[in-house]
Amino acid sequence: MKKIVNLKYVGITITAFVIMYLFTFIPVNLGFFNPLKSALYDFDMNDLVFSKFTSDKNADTNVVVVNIGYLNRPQLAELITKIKSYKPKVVGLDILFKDNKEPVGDSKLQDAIALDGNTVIVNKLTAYNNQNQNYDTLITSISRFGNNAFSGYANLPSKDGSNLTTIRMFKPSAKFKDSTINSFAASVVKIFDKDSYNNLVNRKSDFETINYRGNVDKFYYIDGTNPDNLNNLDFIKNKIVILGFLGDYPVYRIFEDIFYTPLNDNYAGKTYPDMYGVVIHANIISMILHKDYINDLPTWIELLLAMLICYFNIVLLHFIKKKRVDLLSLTSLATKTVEFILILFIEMEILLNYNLKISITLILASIVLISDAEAIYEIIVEKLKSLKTKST
Amino acid sequence: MKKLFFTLALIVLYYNVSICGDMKFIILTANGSITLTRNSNATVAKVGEKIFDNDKLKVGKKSYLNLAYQDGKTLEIKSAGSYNTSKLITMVNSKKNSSAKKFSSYVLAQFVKSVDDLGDMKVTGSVERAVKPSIDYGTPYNTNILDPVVTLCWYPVSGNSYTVKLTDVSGNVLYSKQLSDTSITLNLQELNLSRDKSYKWSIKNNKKEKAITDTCKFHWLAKGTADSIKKSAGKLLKDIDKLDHSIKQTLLASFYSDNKLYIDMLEAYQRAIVLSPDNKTIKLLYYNALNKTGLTRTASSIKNQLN
Repeated sequence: MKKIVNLKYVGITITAFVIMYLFTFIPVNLGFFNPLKSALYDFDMNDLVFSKFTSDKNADTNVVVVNIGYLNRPQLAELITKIKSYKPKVVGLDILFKDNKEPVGDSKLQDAIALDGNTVIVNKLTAYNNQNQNYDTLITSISRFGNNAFSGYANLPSKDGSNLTTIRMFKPSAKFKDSTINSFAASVVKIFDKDSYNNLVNRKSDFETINYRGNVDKFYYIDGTNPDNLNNLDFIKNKIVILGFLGDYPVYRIFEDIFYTPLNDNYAGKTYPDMYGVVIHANIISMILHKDYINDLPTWIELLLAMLICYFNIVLLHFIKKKRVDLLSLTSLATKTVEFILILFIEMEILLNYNLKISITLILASIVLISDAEAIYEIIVEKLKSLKTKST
Repeated sequence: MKKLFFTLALIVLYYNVSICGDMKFIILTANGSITLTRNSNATVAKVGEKIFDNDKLKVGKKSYLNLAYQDGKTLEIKSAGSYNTSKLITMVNSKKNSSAKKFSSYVLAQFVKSVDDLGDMKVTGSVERAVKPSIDYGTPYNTNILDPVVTLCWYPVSGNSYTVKLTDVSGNVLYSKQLSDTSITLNLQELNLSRDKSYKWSIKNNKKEKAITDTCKFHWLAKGTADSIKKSAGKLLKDIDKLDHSIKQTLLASFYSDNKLYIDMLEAYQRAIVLSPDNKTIKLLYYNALNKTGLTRTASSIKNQLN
């Protein structure tokens, strides 16, 4: 016990964390010069988990995704009417109708949307005010459609506001001119399952990590552009049907309304976007319905965990130093590699089995900084000793 | 009476339970040619259809099938072939790996990636011009059409020998012809094709194997929709009758654009330009329309006229 609890080791641990803390005050963005950082700018360690280890999630047969392709309004009206004839519980339209078009077609579409009173249509928030964290503008579909449906914003948070970064989170509700409005997914679930919706509201989260179930392969999919596919759809009854653009799925990808997600096969670096917006919404809806949220470990626990692991590494390092100093470099490298793999494995298991997200950045950074922290600690101790000697 | 009712209820329940109990898969996605054979009866497989023991699924070429097993796990099938239920069960069960096993396989794969992997240099530092479609099409790549007669055209390439191929969305060839012209007019009725369906077409240079167009698409609208659009077009022309002819054609082009009738749209712009050859605004609209419909080569040929 005496050998493990050592003030020096505690001092080195604290020094490592103080160094990391001080780094946060550096105003210059040194990352600009770091190509690795640039490549991994949009990389989250959990992406590796989603990309490589989650293919075994079950399908969610509550949700039906319908591709609208390039249907015009009269065709959309026909499609919606046909879908509604099978009595789904809610129909979500991931389509924004900003302008009036030809009156007859618009009229048919208006009737189709109004039918059964169970449609949710998207709108779009813009003009975000950083000071009061409100949006100032809400772009809606024209009133003849919007007034006959519920609504929810389709906005998804992304790092630089483009669809070239990975979509990992969603915002359940947002402030628009001091009132709170729901996201598209939340609005759909509110109609389908009040209990699940209330559960989401009670979490009071500003942002939720999307616990992706999968791509289109995890939901029912209907190609709405082919009328041959719209017969015998009795299974739609009481389900959630979301209509949106999926290009020519599953034949090839069209780069419209398509995003990067953690499920991308290339979890870091350059590749093609992998998921259409409507499927992202399907994933969010599925997560809310199943209450399958990913929770973050509280920061203080992450910090404590990082400090304990750092301390353990210092103890181990010094043990190896005492026993076989000649093998220190080799064993240190081997230990760090094994440890890294083990930490990643544990992180993965915790995320997959307990839906708990742990940021291992702090842990890994502290391990990397041990040698430098020890050197700085010894300099500080030497300085303090010499000051004490001078004063006596 | 009570006993009879109870017995009947039990029989119904048992029947339902045994049916539900035998359900192995449910179809989540069925794209292309997918056939379900049950008790020697073959039908087209549909989304939402349940698959039971002793069923057989036949997946055609370029088709895609996605199934959910009774435990919720999904199975995607992209290869053509016949699959009976027991084979499908074997396939879905073989996918089940614990996360620990997947993780260790992944880590091992990362470690054994060696320098030898660089020996087979599969990427080059150059572009292969032959791979890029080298025949430029002259008809919008994705359009609706009203009538059964459609003209497809393309730019000439050396050799002057082409094969035009028309397929359905699953890639089944419906029509093919060799010719030396750079256009072909098809009568879809004579080819016994149906309305309200999409068709794909491409052109190949017979003298140069890799020279092809992109695969283009058109959708022959249902009669009702086509008639409705024609009626609306007629009404529009009546409403704007007093306007200048070139403006009428421009507005008509816009109407066609809204209905994704891009061939008609471009023809309307061409008529407008003939009527007002000095009107740069119309030419600009035409130029934008060409780019929108993928006819960039045609667009670049009129770009000079805009300056």
